[in-house]
Amino acid sequence: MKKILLSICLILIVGFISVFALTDNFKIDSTKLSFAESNKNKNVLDTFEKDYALSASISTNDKVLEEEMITLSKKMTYLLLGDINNSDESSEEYYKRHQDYLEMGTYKSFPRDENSESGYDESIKNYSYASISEFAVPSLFLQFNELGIQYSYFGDIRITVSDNLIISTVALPSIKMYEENKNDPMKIDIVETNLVITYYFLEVNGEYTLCYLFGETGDELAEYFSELENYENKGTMQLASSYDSNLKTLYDYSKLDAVTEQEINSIYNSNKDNIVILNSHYNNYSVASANGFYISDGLIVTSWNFLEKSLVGAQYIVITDNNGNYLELDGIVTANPESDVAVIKLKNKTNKKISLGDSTKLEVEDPVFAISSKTGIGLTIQNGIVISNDNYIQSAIPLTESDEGSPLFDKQGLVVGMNTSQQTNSSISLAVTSNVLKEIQEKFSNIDFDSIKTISFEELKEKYYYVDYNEEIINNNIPKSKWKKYKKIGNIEDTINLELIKASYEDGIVSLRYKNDISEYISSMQLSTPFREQLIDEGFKEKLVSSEKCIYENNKYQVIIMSEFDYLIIVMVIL
Amino acid sequence: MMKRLGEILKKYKLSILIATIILILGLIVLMIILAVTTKGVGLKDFTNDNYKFEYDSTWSIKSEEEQKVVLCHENDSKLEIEIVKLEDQYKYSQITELIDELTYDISEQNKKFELLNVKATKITKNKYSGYKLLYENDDSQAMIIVSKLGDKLLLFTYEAKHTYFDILLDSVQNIIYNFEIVEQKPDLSYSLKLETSEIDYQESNDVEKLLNKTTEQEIASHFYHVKYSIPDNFKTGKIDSTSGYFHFRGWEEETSDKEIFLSVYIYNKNIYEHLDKEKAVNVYSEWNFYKSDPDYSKFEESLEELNSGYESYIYKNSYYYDKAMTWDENFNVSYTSQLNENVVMMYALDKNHLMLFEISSKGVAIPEKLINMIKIETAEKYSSYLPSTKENGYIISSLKRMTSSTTGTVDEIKLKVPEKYTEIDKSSLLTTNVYEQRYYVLDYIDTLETYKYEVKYTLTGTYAKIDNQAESVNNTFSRSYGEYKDLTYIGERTINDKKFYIYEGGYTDIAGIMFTSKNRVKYYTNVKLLFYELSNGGYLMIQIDGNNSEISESLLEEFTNFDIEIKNN
Repeated sequence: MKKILLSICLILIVGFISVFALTDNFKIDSTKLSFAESNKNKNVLDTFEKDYALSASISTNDKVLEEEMITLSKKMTYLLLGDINNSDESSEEYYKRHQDYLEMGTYKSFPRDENSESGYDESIKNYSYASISEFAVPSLFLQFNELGIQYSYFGDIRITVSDNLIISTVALPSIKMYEENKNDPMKIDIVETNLVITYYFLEVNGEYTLCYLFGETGDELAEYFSELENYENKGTMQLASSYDSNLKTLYDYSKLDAVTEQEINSIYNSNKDNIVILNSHYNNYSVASANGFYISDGLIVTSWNFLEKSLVGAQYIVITDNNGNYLELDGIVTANPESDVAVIKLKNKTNKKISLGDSTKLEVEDPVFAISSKTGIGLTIQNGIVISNDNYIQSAIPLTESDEGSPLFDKQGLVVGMNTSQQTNSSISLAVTSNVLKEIQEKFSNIDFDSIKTISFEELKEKYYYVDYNEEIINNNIPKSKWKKYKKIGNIEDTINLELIKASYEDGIVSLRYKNDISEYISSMQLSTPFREQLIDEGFKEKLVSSEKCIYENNKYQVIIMSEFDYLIIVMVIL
Repeated sequence: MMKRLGEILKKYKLSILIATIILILGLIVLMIILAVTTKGVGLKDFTNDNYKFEYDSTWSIKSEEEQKVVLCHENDSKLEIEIVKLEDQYKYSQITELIDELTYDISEQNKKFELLNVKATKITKNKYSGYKLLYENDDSQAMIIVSKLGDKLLLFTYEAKHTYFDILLDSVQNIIYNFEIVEQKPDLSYSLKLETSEIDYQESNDVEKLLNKTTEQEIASHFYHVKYSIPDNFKTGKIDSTSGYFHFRGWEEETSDKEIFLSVYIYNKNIYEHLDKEKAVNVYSEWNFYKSDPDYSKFEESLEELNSGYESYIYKNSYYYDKAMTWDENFNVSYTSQLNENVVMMYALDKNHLMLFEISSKGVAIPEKLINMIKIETAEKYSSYLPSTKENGYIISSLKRMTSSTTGTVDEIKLKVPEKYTEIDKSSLLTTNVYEQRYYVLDYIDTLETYKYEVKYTLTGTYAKIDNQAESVNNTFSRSYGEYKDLTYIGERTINDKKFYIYEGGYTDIAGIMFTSKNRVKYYTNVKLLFYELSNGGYLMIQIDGNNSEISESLLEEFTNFDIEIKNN
């Protein structure tokens, strides 16, 4: 009797557990998908000394505007080029998109005055932009669409607020477009290149309208940047003036033109030793490169973006000076991802330090200079003008990603900012202001160099949030008696040499999941070749063969082979 | 023993027979029952206003909403398909930008599951870009497949116990593979107020009896090369590779009362924009004038959708010009009412390329038979339209011009350019009439970003003057980069047995990126301009540019190697 009661209790407990287990179903509440920026950096920032925390340099209002303009730029790109990856756009969709695009033109909503020469209300500032938009906006749509541009992702979007215009530079890497075949002009090729589209938005009646746009293809830009790199030699200086001709029409470059070559040489020579070159590596492969400069003796300011890329993909960071000398890294002191700054400490002092200027004194069209390394070897000086100076300094210097962390100088050779250019192929670059640098300089001026605490690169790497996949549960519930029969199919124990992760038997069906731990570059399907050949030898017929799935059958069994995630999955079914 | 068995069989022979029959019948019935009751795995369709897919009958629809459907398997496995409408700020993002945050959100919502893997993938037979995520707990596994289509997020969630997960994977993959979003195209016929009806054609025996054969023509413009057929009664009015102009010829009596013209164009334009009445230029706009002018009457127009294999429409109008003048034998003028008709055939070569056949008639109706003889034969994406052949080491190509449309006289200049040269089309939008101008180059110089030699052949108009032509070439010279020499007439010369009027000059040009100091290299371009007088008036103009290179005698000989033929079209 006791045994019966015990059994009933056991059954009830198992039943209860089963019911409880069923409530743990996988569930996605789509209304709660926020896409909000997950706090990837939190672990990292918590690691630094609290006293070293740096304040953010951008206000909430600016962030809202920037977000709004990024969304508008994406929408504009959709209206100009169509939806991402949508190469099958119908005529109706194209027509609708074209109409919606034209509605964005400044000329559509700018107040009109029939009696004025331009046809627009000339008492309102910027009326000339409406006239420009009337021609440029419709015609450029046709030109862009004639090239059959297909884009698959946004590389970067950079917003510049300049006086009354908002300039948005959208980098679209690896686009596809039509191009004449170089050898046979009768033929048309689809080529892959990079495209940068710059939109000029003007606010009219509280809405942002499109007054001008232009596109630059990768070839031109790549040529420009490769030329720049070719000139670069260790310890020598080359001068590169502003690339972008369109900016020349909008801004007065006379202050820059007045700067002599001697003055530029002087800025370069007095600062080249205060700048370091940072390269991060995975084995022997370069992961990222950037610049940094001595904010105080032994302390280097660089870009957080560089550090973040290195935390994700690199094993170590190499620091060199302009003369090629290696400098040993002690560790990371602090960082502020919002301002894109990070402070790192060297093992030893070097007796070098930049002189800080005051970026608040910079005015639009003032000349500015960037000294940086584009190849990770030598330094180059480039010049441009200030386009805006607010929470950030926007300058017309065409910097690339490898220039980030480099100092921005004024005409006197004082550091007025740090370039944070994360954008490739842009003609406008962004720098944090000297206020941010001043805060860092002041914070560490009172701390003895040896007392400044750091986190090693390796340690920080461990703290950095990145998707860490869990180990899967290993299951095998195929009864030995059944396996004796199934293992003969394709001589599977000998023809598949992978680790069996999951195996189950149910109602005459066997499923086997193997982990492809050979190489991520060899597909699981490829690893099943000996098994598949054996099936053919045993008289199985191919019913389906693709890189993802193969099906074989004989008069007794159907064998389905699937490549899914990093697994090879084999299902054997009795027919 | 055997004897005893035999006796028993004999004794119960009938009973055994009956029992055997019952047994056999029973087996047959059992087999029938089994056959009827055993479930076959068939395919079922699911369709709603937003999407459709196929699923095998081992699955059943458990719940169904407008944007979400849940399928359950016999063994309690589950597949949810959901379309999530995205807010504006994510609408224009791509899935690669959202996946990190999405993975974070999904993981947060399912803390009892562990993430095993995230992988980029292509989804459905349309190969949408997406990601797949794999989770598991002690009991089951879940695979989430996510993609973004415009302003919608497409979410598949498949969950099954460990035992069943891989077994059902194939059928889940099949459901996802066959999943299709039901396209909701914008209803343009409503917004554009497209009113279509069957077009009425008037009989026109004068024309119809002349229609017999078709002739093939070609046109190249805006990256398209199209071959098309038209009735062979249409004769070329102007030779142009980028458009077609034809007159209907062969009337039984020479008359000026009846005329039919055909024009053919390719535009970089969407077909619906040409049908949009709100646009300044559309298929209707050209004839708006006739609707209101009192000199014209009985204006009628109609539009019909064409069944041509292209998105295509045909527009027709007819009206009467009430003040058409006629003269009697004594040259007295009287006014009659003259029928005019216009037909426009519009073919969408693709979403932004439109091919138009415009047929206009005066004093005669355009019959349906004529319309039916006009058709696109082939339409191909071409970079350039340069019909030429290669022969004995030469590129053989032609320049053509019509010197008389009434007689159909055509001057054809057959060029023979050495094969080492490359012919290129300077106009990226292909608006150059290649029968009027051809352009050859040799040896690209990287540092100068141009060719060592550039040669341009141009056929001038029949009334063109040498001085004016030379002056317009001279005006293209750069004068701001250094030394230059205006084109100067140096006299007549005979080369290859042909007489040429020759000009010489040159200028300094610059390579590199404008407004920068990068790659700026100056070079000197020597220019020689040769004119050959044509018998029907006008000239063949040959411009030879030598960039940092002298133009040698042998080069002049190479480029004056041509034959001239005068033909009747």
